Amino acid sequence: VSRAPHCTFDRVVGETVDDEDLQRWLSNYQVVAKEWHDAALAELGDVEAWRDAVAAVRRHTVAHLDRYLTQFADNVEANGGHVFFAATAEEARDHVAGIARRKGVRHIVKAKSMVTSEIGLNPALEALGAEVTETDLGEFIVQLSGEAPYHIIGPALHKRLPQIREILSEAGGVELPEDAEALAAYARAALREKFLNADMGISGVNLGVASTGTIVLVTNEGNGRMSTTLPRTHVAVMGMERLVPDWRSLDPVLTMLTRAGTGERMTTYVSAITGPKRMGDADGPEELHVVIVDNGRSRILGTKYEPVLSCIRCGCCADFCPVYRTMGGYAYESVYTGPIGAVLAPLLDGLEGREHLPFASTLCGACQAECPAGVPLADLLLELRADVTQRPTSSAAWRLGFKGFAAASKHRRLWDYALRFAGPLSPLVVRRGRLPVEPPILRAWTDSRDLPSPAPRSFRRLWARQARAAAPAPSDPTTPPGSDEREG
Amino acid sequence: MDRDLFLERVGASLRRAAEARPPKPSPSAVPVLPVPEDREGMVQLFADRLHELQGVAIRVPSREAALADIAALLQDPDGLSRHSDGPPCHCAASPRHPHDPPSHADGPPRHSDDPPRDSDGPPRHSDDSPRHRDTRIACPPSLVWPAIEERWTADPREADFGLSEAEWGIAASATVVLRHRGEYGRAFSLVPPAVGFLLPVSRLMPRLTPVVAAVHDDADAPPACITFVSGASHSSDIAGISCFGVHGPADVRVWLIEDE
Repeated sequence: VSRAPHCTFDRVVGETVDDEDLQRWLSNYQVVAKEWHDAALAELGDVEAWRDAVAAVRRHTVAHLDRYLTQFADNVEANGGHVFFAATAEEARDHVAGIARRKGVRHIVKAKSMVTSEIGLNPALEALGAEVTETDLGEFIVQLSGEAPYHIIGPALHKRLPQIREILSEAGGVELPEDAEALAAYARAALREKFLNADMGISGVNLGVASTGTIVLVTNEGNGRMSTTLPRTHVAVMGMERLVPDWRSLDPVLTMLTRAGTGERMTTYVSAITGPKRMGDADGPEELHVVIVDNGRSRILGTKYEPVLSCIRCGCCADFCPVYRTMGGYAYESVYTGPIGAVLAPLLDGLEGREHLPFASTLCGACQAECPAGVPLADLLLELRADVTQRPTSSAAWRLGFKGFAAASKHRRLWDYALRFAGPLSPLVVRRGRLPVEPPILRAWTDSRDLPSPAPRSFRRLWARQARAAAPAPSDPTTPPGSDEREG
Repeated sequence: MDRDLFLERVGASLRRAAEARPPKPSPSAVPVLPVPEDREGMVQLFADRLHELQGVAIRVPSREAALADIAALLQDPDGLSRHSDGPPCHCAASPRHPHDPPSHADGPPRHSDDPPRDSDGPPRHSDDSPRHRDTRIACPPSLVWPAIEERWTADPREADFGLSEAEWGIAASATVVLRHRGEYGRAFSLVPPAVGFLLPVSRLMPRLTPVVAAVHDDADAPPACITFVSGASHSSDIAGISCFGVHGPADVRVWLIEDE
């Protein structure tokens, strides 16, 4: 693997690891998140059966996506909404910007949405002269600080109280106290003004119900409801895989989404929006536009990576990931952070420059074990690693090293001989955990860890010797198959 | 992109799959959430779990009793969080786990003639009780009754309290389900700093399953918006500290009406 694209990654990881306060903060957050998550799931009874139910709904939907997208779009239109299919991020941006331009929109409020960050929507709207305000409190904080979201459901997860006080004080031009209640009250007042003056509300879509053309939004603060109730125009941007077939399918998916994501039985608000407001309705938007985004997803469909499209964006994989806890959200350099980001970012944006992400994992499997939709994240990371190593652009040393390892591990005697000689020889060449001359790829390892020396005598050799001593019979059934005295 | 082209591209990608497409799972494959299903058990569960979410359940013998309770609340200057007289949000001093069992103080759902408990509703601020202005209520016009006529406004932005009628309740998550159509607007349950819901006990369901099944089985299209509300608006985005009333209301009350 080429080292060049890693420089930002290495720098961000280095900064995060060196920040002891942030390390403690991230560690504590995972402890609390796990407590909430476990308590919420414990109430479900047979959790694995719930996971299976969600996985079955999502895999079926993704495997029949052409049919469900047709049904969903037909129903949105039958209910008075408009649907646009965007093959690329650019098409999606241009379409939303076109709506804003035609309607002379000046003030836009946005509910939290990963896909709008993925397509880079805000700059396109700001280029029109429109004011775009993120209204989720976490998104509001990182928008003001000019940063990207740190976590799928906790955009300002990395910010501590003094930092948030400073950001909001600067934005408001007042010296706010270091008190969560005062800061929340300030944000409420500032954003209430934005809601009341907005011409357009933009949201994502947590789930789309194909059978009725319904958009489901899951929020806690109420900003999602405000953004989709008060402005005259509502634009909902949806990754094309975010469907379920019908309302009954919502039961397991919604149940697991909120419990796995935030440890709640249900979030404070779940809005199910079916078209714009109807004739005689007291409130609601006059227009509803649904923008369905592909942006690389159809490249994943029908391949070994298709299961990643079952993800329901609960963010739970990051909450359990030791690597996320250590290197933080910005190391992924993607709107999708944590293990899902390590898989999805290279698939959506291409491996070029992101080939290191699948390796940013211990493969401990915690993400896979906890995923409420049964996405085999660890398996997919391994598949991506295989793809990376097979690319012609991967470094010769890397490929040669793995070829040598593969050859040795496939041929028993070669492996045994290699170990037999490596054991006694390694003390002569490995000094203080390093080799005297190291290729760059090995140096990345030995910079922070000791190069381990093989034991002078292998376990197999010791085992065989012990077995022979314990049972001097000519053939010992406890000897592992394939073992013999010559093994090193 | 042209819709047909887009869908054709999706279809072509799916046809690359080596494995057979999985069939639609049966609804019976969804596990059953283990919660009480008897009337008393559901009421108790709803009240306990709403309390955990900073809300209050008030059990009343009739709809008239609920309306009388609300009218009395509007006349109590200290009774409600007000929208222009102090911070409408509050934060937990120390985080309480949302699934901690209710404390002894939580007890059963309040009855309308019980004295208020310390745990009822969000904490009041000393400057939170205006005595210089009438408390206003916003609700659909057909809900207005004589006792509140002078305090009623159609505009939720002017109101201190918003009232809505719930279509269903879900005991497992202390949720009220609102079907917004016609005069039953969305903002009544969102914009005022304090909101209330009328929920007949006969409409209380044990879990989400029968509610989504009812929408699923409805021959008519759903209304433009169905909202599920579970407790007070909240966020932990400020350094992980639970803050209530961030955008929506911090003060949430549900009148459970004994209608059978």
